Amino acid sequence: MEQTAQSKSRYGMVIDLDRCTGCGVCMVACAVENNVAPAEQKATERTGVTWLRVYPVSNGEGFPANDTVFIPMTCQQCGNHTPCVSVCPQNAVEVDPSTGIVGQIPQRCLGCRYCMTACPYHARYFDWWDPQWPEGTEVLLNPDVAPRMRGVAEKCNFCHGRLHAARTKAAAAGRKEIAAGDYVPACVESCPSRAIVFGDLADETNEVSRLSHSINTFQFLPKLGTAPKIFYHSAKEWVRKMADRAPLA
Amino acid sequence: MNITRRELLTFAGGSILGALFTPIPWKLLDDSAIWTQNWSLIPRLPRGPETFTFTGCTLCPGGCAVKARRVNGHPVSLVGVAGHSLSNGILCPMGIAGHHLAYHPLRLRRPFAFTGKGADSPLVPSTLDEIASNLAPMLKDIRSSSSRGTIAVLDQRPGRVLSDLYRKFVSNFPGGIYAVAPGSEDPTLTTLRALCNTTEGTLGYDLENTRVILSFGAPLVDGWSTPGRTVQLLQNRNQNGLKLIQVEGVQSRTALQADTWLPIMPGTEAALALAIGGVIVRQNLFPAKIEKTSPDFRTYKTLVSKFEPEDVAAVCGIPSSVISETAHALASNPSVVMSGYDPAGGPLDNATETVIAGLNVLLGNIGRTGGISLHAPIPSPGATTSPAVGLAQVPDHSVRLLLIDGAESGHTYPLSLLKRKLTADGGTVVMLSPYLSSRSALADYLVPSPAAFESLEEISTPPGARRSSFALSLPLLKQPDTTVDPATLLAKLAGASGLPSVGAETVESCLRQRTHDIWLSKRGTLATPTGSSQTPVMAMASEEELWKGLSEGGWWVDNMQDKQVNPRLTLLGLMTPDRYDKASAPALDTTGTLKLIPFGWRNATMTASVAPVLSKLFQESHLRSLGGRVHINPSTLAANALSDGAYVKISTHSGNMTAQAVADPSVIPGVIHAIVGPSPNNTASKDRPEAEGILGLCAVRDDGSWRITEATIAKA
Amino acid sequence: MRCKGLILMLSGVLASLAIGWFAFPAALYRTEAQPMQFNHAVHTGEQNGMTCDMCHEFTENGSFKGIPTIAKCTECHSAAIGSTESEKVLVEQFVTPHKEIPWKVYSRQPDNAYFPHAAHVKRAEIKCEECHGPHGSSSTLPVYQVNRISGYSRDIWGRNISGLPSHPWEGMKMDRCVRCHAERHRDDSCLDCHK
Repeated sequence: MEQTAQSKSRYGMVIDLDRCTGCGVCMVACAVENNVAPAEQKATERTGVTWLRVYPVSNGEGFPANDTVFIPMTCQQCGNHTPCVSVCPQNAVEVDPSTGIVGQIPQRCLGCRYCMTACPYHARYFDWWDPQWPEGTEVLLNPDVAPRMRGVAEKCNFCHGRLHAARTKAAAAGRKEIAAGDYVPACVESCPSRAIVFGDLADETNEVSRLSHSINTFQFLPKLGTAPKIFYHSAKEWVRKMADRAPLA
Repeated sequence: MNITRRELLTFAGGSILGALFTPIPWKLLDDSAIWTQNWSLIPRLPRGPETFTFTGCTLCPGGCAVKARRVNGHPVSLVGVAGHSLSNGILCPMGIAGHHLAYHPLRLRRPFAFTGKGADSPLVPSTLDEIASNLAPMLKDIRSSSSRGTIAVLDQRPGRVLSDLYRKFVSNFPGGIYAVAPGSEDPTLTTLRALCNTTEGTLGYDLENTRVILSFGAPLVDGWSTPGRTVQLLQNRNQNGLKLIQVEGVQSRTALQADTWLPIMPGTEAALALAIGGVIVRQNLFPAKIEKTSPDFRTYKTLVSKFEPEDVAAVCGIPSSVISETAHALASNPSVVMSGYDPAGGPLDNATETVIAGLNVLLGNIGRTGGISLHAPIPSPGATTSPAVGLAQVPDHSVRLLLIDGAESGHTYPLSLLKRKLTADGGTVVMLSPYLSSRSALADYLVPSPAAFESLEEISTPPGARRSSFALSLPLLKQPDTTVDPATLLAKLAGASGLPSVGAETVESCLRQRTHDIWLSKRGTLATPTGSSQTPVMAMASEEELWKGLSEGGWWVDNMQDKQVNPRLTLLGLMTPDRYDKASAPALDTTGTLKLIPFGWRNATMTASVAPVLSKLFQESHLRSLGGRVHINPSTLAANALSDGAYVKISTHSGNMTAQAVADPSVIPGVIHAIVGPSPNNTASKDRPEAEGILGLCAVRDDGSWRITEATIAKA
Repeated sequence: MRCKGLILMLSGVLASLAIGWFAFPAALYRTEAQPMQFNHAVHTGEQNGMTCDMCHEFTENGSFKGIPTIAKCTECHSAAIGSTESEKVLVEQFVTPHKEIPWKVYSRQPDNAYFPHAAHVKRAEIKCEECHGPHGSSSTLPVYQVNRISGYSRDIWGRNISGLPSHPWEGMKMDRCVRCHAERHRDDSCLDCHK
């Protein structure tokens, strides 16, 4: 009989900001994949739910010296002192020891939003309304992700439904490890510019692992010591200098 | 026996104690917890077998290949098809949620008639037969005489078999007009066709072999033709050595990705194009043969001599050295010059489009590798009788009955452009559309056409493509019984006007016909959706094999040699040099009259054309601006004593409206960059078309352009 | 009079116990009829000797199909085999009009639970019977009862209202999953089984 001992992965991303055109397809693909409902009529950018949000950030110069960079900001999957995990009174957030993915369990969440306050990356969202799709759209929902009820916090979990599917496929083939190509989050798959590279940071032969150590690659708010597993890359110095402040500011 | 209060409490206490030893409290707690996780306010997930279908997106003429994941037969997600040679596995944000559009709250679910004109008149349910019989007297009258105006069909996506059917239909009426909607064709190629003076073949850009693209505002990374084509070419610039020079008065997404961005004062594009032409002529950077083959070379030479880079620099804000460098870059590499058709701002004016297209002639780009090629169109059954004209070329007040096609080019235009074509009494408008939009306000009859991915449709050659191509868009959703096949509507109207059949009565039979024509021509190859194998049509055993391949999501791409281009190309076409006055550009004005320029994102110019989930971009984040917002440079805002987020009143000759101002340093000072886009997401159903908004303020010129309108702003 | 108080209290206790153990379960569950009868034993018995996975298949990507579709039934039952009442219902109401049988599923889990059969059956080699009991050798379908509050089958909690299983396979609540995973020393996270 199979005993536990799965290998330890550490899933992460490297996002090349110089390639990102800010088209927004990743945000839509994310919402479709994870059954995030369209905005309620009154929803705004403060109350909306976007597991992945692309922030346009300007260098602050006037025309025409102005420059804009688009920063896809998602759960940074903090590997150290994960702030949301440490504050949750309900044990509704946890770091999966075998994948490093920070998981949010809406069924346990009581909706106190402490985690949202604690998250330095503003990557957590609260369901202010019941999830509502236009009439008839229910049949178009992704069967691999359960919709969340009103009153809970939610966030990116690296398309966990796709990890399930990859594991199932591996198990059916009698394999223990998933094939890397079988587990690709929706934003990575849909990016027209191929700006996002995803994979196991623990596997040193992996492109994502190599890129995470490459020159001009940085993490946001490194001084907090949260060890995010989302890395960013830009050849522009003013962009890299932004790393010390949250882009939402 | 009397029961005292104490006894009752004792009994109750006992019951409570007893209840603790029953499953009641624990089971109720458990069940109610499960109930809250699964109550009716949270939709049930679909269950069932998972299948995959290859199809194509019909939201715009880009026609990207789509792989749909279906559960229980319903599409649950769409992705691009990796390995597909035309769209390279890429979909745009609208396409990736395209399967949600059929359920849009603004979806039309049955035919309607308006009892009066205008946005305030109520919608009255109708039927197709009722509409046909109401129109019968008028149709018969138009057939006998066009003196009181004629019939016109506005095709929003020319080049389809259905387009041929429309042409055939209108040719039965005296003076019948087949018009193509603004934005449905590439403006530079349309202009070049006039410069080439040819009607044969289709022009396309050989971008794959180009080294320099000079784009006057074409949104190359943000919704230009097939996104997968240009995005991939630009992302691979390290390998292919391509350079993009973007000329635009706003730092758009394309300008951000360009190698060089030339921030130009809007309205001075012609001066820049002529200055570049001047450098090329003066420094003999053009192929020598042009001097002989272009009949108007001398006129052009005289014209450009008036556009010295130093003078032009002062007008358009581009340094003369940059103008000179740009000319050299264009001349020393395979290059392409193209103009931008804004999805809401429309084309540049005709004179400007001509000199932009003319640069290609001057550089000898026509028929050259890496330039602009002339290729054979998709095989078709033969000559169609009504010529295609642009909407702007339709004589004003000549159309008594207008039929508007339901496909979308992804571009929008001011309603006044349409209104002025209708007869003085307002004419009668029959509009096919899957949804209620601002355009519906013009209709007398609304006929619901199938939504995206609901019916079998065709994907013909995308604008600017290098070769002709053809594919089928296979339905993923069940089409409501109340929707009307456009070919069926034509057949009904033909019947009502006493015409014999105009041919196919369903789109499917049109597509069978085209497949038959391709099969007969023996041209091209059919590729499987993922590009894993290719079969020449010549090697196919039967027509049915071709149809089957197409029905499985295969793509036919032509393999015909390029056609020879008529060498006698003009540089200015019908434009006279006096149309170009370099002094016309006013000095920068940031307090008095500003330039109102509408701006849109292809396929996202109306609420109903984007799936509700696009609220993630428009409403729940600041990534894209909602319709009705105006982006203005902070310095211009300050000069008018306005602040970021203020509500401003915008006034033009056509009227005024209130909009929210957004301080945006990426917009050139002096310009009101007005967003034409969806209004906030609305999940409630609507029974009235939405207001036209900023486009209603735009002045439409005689050449059909409305890019720049003079406007003033004040605090609302 | 002390005695009277005690009697009253005890009668309260007894009334609660009676309601809680007998009336409550009866009220909590609603019995629903299956669309037709089904005899597993006929299929799996000696005469036909079918195994579970002949009908309850896996797809190519490893997901479990669950209850087979009517197409699977039609493979053998395109015409009636035998003359039982349920055979007649099967052919006339479902096979001939090619309509799916709206079975009520005893083991249906909430949408937020994720149970990969492949990992359990193929990798861990757990027998079907360990969770589903001797369902495959039954000759009639058990009574389907639905919880009026949660909307799920009674079999998820277990037939016994106490929640204590009378048989080892009874009950499909999360604690059952957790217990088994703990026994096998699995390094779990919530999202392993929740979606």
